[in-house]
Amino acid sequence: MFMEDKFIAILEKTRELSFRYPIRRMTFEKIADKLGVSTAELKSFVRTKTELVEKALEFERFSFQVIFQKHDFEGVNAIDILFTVSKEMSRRFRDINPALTVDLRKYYPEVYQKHIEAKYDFIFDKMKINIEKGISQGMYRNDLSVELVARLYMARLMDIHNPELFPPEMFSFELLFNYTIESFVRSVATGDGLNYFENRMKCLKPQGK
Amino acid sequence: MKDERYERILNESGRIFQTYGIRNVSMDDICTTLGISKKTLYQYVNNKADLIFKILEAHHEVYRQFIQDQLDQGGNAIDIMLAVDSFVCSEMKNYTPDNIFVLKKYYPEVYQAIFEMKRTSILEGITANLNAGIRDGLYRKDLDVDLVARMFVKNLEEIHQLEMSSSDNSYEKIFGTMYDHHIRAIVTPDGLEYYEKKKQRQ
Repeated sequence: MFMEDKFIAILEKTRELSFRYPIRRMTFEKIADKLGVSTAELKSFVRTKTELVEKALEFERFSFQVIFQKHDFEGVNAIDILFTVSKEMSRRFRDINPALTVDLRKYYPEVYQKHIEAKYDFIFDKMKINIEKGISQGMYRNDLSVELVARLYMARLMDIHNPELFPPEMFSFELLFNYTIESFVRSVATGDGLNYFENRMKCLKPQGK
Repeated sequence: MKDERYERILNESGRIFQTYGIRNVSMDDICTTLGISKKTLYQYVNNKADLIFKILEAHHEVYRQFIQDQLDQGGNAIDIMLAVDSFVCSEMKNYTPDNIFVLKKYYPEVYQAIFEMKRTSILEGITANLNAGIRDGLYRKDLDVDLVARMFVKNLEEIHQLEMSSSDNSYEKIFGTMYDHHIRAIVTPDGLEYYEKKKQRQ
């Protein structure tokens, strides 16, 4: 995906803006104003608000893909890859307000659906690679059904913030995400994998906690 | 108090609904098949929705009773989970997603009421199981019981929505995997050893 620097800056700002104000309630002009650009300038990149949302979501997926470009995972332990990816993800996605998801689903259903499907395909692929890698490294059990396990955890990851069972004021994204990753590793690991994981956790946990 | 006629009505109409589909069976059909009068049937239930609710409630009660029996026999937390796992797996053979769909669409209040009753009951059950396991040193004591219990319920609910692309993944297999992963995620080394030994023997 190629995007002009100026446009990337706009999308970054749109992202921050969407955490604070419901995009759907703002006019195109108001959004341009909040982003600190003229309406004409914003129009040169996107023609409508829906297109802005679409591009912002595309950018969101792109940021996720960047994690995999930034790190060379060739030959890296599958458990370490999970640690790296989740650290990066927590950093980038912890601020996401669940209300934003509800809004997107409700007011931009088609754009949002397309985003979710593209995101699902991407993560599902990475998940399968991770499981296969872990098995071949002896870190994960070799009796796992790769497809089934990947699907199970996809369902968990995609709906991590189910607000009925996990009210956001009681459970942060980070807490749920970290728990999901930890329980994944414990569930699929061999004895060696488990030892490796626990040693890594010891190093990561701050002293006295 | 046990009312055998009432139990028979619930059991048999449950079976009829399951075989022919909720939508295809009327209250008249129930009466004819069971050989009872409408008057008798309406002594026990108010209408079809009520009948469906009572069947599902009784069904859940069987499950609750099963767990209670296991507890009375002195099984530890892992024994209980394994017993429930095989119990649910055998139940899953009769799982009819079509009926769930019909229930959701045509009897949304019944669906909602059953859904909430199950959620509360499973949350209570799994919380008790987690606490017992921690007490006996089978589960890790650093677990956040509330979080794990809610996650278990969420995962359970998700399974029903999971669309599996490959048909070789039966509900039984999906369920078994989910239970297996739940236990492995929470056990201590002792718990894991116990679990694996016990599972091998099964």
